[in-house]
Amino acid sequence: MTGPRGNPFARIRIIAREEYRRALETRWLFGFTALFAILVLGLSYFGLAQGREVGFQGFSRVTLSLMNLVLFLVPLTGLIVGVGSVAGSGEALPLLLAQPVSRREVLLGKYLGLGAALTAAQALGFGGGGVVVAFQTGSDQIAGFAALTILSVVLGWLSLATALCLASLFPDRLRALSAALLLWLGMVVLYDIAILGATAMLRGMSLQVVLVPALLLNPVDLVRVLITIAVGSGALFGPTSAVLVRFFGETGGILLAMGLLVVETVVPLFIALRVFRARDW
Amino acid sequence: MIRERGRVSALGGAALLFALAASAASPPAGATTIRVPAEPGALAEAASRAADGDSLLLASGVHRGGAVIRRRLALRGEPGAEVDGGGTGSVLRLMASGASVSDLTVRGSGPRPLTIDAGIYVQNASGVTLTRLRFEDVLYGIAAERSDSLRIEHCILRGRATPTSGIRRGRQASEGNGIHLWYCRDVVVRRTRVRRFVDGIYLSFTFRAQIEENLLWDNARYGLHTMYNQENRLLRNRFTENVAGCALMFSNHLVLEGNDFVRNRGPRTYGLLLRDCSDGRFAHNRLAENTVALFMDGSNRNQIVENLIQDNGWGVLLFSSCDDNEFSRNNFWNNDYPVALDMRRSNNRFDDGAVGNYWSENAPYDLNGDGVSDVPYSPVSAFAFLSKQFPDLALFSKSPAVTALSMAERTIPALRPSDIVDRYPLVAPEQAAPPAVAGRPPAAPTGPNRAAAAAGFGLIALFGAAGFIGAIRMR
Repeated sequence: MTGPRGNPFARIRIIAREEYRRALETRWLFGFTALFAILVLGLSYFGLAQGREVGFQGFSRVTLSLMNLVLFLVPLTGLIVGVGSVAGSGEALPLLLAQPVSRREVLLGKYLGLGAALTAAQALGFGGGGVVVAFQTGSDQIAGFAALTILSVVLGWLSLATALCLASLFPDRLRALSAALLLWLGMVVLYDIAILGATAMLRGMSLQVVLVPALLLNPVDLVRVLITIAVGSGALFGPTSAVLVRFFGETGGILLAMGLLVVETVVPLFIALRVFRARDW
Repeated sequence: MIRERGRVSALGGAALLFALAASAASPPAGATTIRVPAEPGALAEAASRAADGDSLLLASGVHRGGAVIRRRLALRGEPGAEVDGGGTGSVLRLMASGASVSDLTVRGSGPRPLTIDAGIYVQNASGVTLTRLRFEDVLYGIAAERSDSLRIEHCILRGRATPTSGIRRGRQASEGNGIHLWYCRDVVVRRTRVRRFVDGIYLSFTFRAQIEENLLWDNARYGLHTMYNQENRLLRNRFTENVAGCALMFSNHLVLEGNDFVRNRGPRTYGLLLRDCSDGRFAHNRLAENTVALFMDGSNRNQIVENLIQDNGWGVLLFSSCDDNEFSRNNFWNNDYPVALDMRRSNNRFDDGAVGNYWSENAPYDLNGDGVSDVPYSPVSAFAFLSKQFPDLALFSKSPAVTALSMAERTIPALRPSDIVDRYPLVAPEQAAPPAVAGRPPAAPTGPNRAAAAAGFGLIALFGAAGFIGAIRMR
């Protein structure tokens, strides 16, 4: 038996398994999954029923309302679950750190376990919703829904990485949670309001110079734009969309956007690893 | 060449009338039917030798080389008859009043827009009738100038433009319009399908035209485009998947009823665009899934009643150059911005003094039960107002921030950007407009197979469920 002793991957796997089991055991994630599945199914079904009343199929409205749900819930869940598993987890973390495992392995294990749990929850919710959407709508909506599923999972992993970074920076549970909630509010709501305000004040400035970089910097906005384009209502974006659709509509643009999302995941994770290793827990 | 000469009996006259459908004059006693074989040049020769009132019956097969019709002839094709212009100039030129062409396929016009190389070019001829024709591989389909009372019915036109090529620089100049009319009065276009031209139908200085039950789709610019027309009537047409549906410019006293403007989407795309069009009536139209359903600029005193405006990005985009328009009894369903405008005050009205419109995002209450909400509704949101001025902001249209903003507006009316208000919003939608009778809508773009997609998502759901069960069993 080789055992976990000599093999870091085996040790990471053991920690991930444990984290995964615990995440799905706690009511938080279970509640999230249930809420998610119910909302996805409900919106897919009732959202479509409403569109049919006057004889036209929705403008991919299901996907778009689900998108707002995803943009609200997924970062919130990722942040809270991630912070909760490290910061202020009582005796569990020091006990785990006392085992013959490196700190990097502990953090990576936690990350993978939580990520897998979040992915499973989303898979259940979106899978069910996707079956409903596939049966109820024209096939041109499916691509948008698939993009939503993938990007939601990506956003989940991204917010988990951010959460681990915050939890390492603020070992006090309350502080870490406050920071996470502030960050969430900032990314999801305040950032856009600030940009809207800035636009109203700047008047006439070349918006593409300001808006497009602003979109690229906030992963929540980036995901929103990608989904909107995938759904096909990118047409709504007006003249800028000509630029954006040309940009994101092609392989290079998609690669760049996904690359940015990966960078925005890896950088916080890297910081988390550095800080987590140095801290005295 | 076979010539069948003989007096036209009462019975034969009926057959001739079929071809001469709209020309009121009965054929003169000496009219003959000439059968033209499918040989190169035969058609041109027959056309030059025939007399006024004769019929040319084109044999099945390809007639190479076009023809110029200078006398009042009736051209009719046997099933399978085709005229091929060979790629130079216009295929058929009609220069005689009362001439008619029917039951033919016309193909192979020249490539030059300067000379308007068309399938059929009608010049200075009134009362021409074109029926059951099919146009393929032509620069322009039907072009007409100074030709009154032209009738185009049951034709199918397909051009050389591709929907994206119009955007590419320099290409547009080399492509023409499906039906291109200049200085024609009392024209009728009915039951005709046009696709893959720059403009499906282009009318300029065309008065009292009646455009009825046509399908205009997949064109590189507009489905229908008019400039400087008066009193045109557009009835029960369907405009779909054009780069822009229908653009009416400098045209007054329009009547648009029962038309469908559906899925005209793109960065600069409108379902119905009105530029300097006044005193028109727009009723029972359905505008759905367009980027902008109705765009109005410099258009005054129009009546927009009982239309369905659903699932568009912008429902009505109104410029401050518009005045005194009235919107009533319309259904506004699920538009991202039902109304966007750039003026704080305006005398465009969103009710007729007794009844307003139905707004799906309104939450009306009606205590006296008269079907009209007890409180007015303002359809212009702060964000719509802002994004009208800065279209780039539409990037944030789906942002939760914008949702939060509109909720704030509902509670704090001081945040409302415009005084425009529907004083009598309807509690329930008006009866949906009757469906247009035009040609069948084009097939939806083919996506991934529905069952395969359902199976795929089912697998994802199973994967998630297995993850949960696995977690429980780990204990």
